[in-house]
Amino acid sequence: MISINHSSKLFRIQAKLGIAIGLALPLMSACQITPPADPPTLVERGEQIFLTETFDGNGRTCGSCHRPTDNFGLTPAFIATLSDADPLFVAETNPDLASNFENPGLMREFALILENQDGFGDLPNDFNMRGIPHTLALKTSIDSPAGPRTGWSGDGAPGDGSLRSFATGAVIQHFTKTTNRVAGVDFRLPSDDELDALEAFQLSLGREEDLKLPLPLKGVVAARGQEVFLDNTLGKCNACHLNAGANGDPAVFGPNPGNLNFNTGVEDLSDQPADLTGELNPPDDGFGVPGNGEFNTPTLVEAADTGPFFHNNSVETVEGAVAFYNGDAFTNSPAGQLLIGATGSAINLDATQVVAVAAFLRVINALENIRSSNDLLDRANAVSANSDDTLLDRALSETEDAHQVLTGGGLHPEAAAHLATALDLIELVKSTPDEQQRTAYIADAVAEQGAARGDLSGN
Amino acid sequence: MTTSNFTAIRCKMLLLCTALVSPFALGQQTTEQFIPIGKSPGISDKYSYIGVVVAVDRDTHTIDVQSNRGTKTIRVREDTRLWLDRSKAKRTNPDASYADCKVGVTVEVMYVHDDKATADWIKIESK
Repeated sequence: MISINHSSKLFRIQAKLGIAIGLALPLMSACQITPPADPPTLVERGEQIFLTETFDGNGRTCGSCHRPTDNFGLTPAFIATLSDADPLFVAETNPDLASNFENPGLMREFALILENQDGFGDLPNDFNMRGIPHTLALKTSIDSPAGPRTGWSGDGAPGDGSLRSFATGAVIQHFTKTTNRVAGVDFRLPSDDELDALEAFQLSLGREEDLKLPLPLKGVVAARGQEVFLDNTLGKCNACHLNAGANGDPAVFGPNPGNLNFNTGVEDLSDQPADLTGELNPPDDGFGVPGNGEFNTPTLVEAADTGPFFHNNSVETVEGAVAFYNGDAFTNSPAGQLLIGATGSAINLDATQVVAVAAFLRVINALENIRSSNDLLDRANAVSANSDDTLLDRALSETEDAHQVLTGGGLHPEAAAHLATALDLIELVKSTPDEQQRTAYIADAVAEQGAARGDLSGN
Repeated sequence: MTTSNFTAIRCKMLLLCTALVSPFALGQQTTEQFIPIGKSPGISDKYSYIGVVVAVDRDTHTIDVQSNRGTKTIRVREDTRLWLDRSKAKRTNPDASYADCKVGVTVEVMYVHDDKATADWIKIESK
């Protein structure tokens, strides 16, 4: 009689289980379950859309014109670095957009893009050529009692006119495959979720609050420029650019005036660069259809490194932009006449005062660039060395801008030297895979920029 | 110089600001042409009627629009912007006129902010 030995059978089962477990454990530890990445925040989602989403159009994205390393704007110098295959140049490569979509010559030479601001009924003749404004500090610069003011004439968005709705108009104007502009054929409209994300991203860029002038500036020229800026008998700048921002002074315009539009006579400048080419460049009538000649007030903290200036990129330098307000075009404009009526005189700065105000604008711009660069470096320090260099590239461009803005005005050579060192350190960060060394370089770069800041201002 | 010297500016600017009573006064007036019925961001179904024209009165220059908000009589002014919405037919959207407002057509009417009986713009569905 054969008897089954249950205990040995159990032993064999246990043994098999033990072997199985013994084999499985190394496999389990080798196949560690990686926790899923956190979903992107609304701002991160907005950044992704801004830089990569073409909305089934001609290949352009928001970032095609609003370049992260060109202060989310676009300058001729930056355009010159782009490949001819860049979607920015779609009018040169797409036969369906070869006419009445852009003027490639004016785009390449002056960073001007075509807007059908007064309608699409006469494409060959009814258009305006405008610069690409930066999208920095929007939290501080678009609100007004009459509603949000977007774009160069303050009426840039369709629908409810909000920043959120702006992308819809931009897709229609700039992303279309043909000038028919048929939704669902030439492009797709942004969804509600995409509009939310884009708005959140744009509002996250740059300053979130205005300066509080006067700042304790250390350079005598910039400090004098700040005095002139704030003096309502001299520069009179603060009236419309409160604290060097984009809003009106409540002491002048009443409570909470917000961001304002003015007709300052820029369109009356006699030798606008685009006109000198002989290309068709119809007059820009500004806000509304038909326009009332008014244009939107931009921020000045961001001015010195975001030229050329005014809606038509007609003035290249910040000194030239300040000097504009001395000239006949402004003096004879509705805004200029209003100022004369209220103050008894036109703006009449001499050359040293123009340079001083420009120096003030250069220094506050450099301070903002330093702040922004350090913020980006801190954020870069929080991500892996294997992440892409987007944050570092932006930090680098901010520091470069701060350096150029100071050296371009012959200002603060010691601060410029600190910034040059910071530039070298940021380049080292980009080329260093070692996390500890990256952190050390970032700390050093931040310290150098802090030293530069200390040379410019007492706080 | 004291701020009192800017009194003239303040008065004029206040006058200008009060003239702009609509929160959508700063809305763009051109690319709206290419936004299909029901897709205007921040406007469709909030500050517009989407429905069918059930009556047209050429004497009073009004149209009656039946929507999910009832039937409204809307005045069409000379400065009311009108477009044909041909996006469903995959065709471009041209300008339209009051004559295109016919009984039976589907429309979206954005009303003027402080006057819901007056059209700021009208999109007329068409082939």
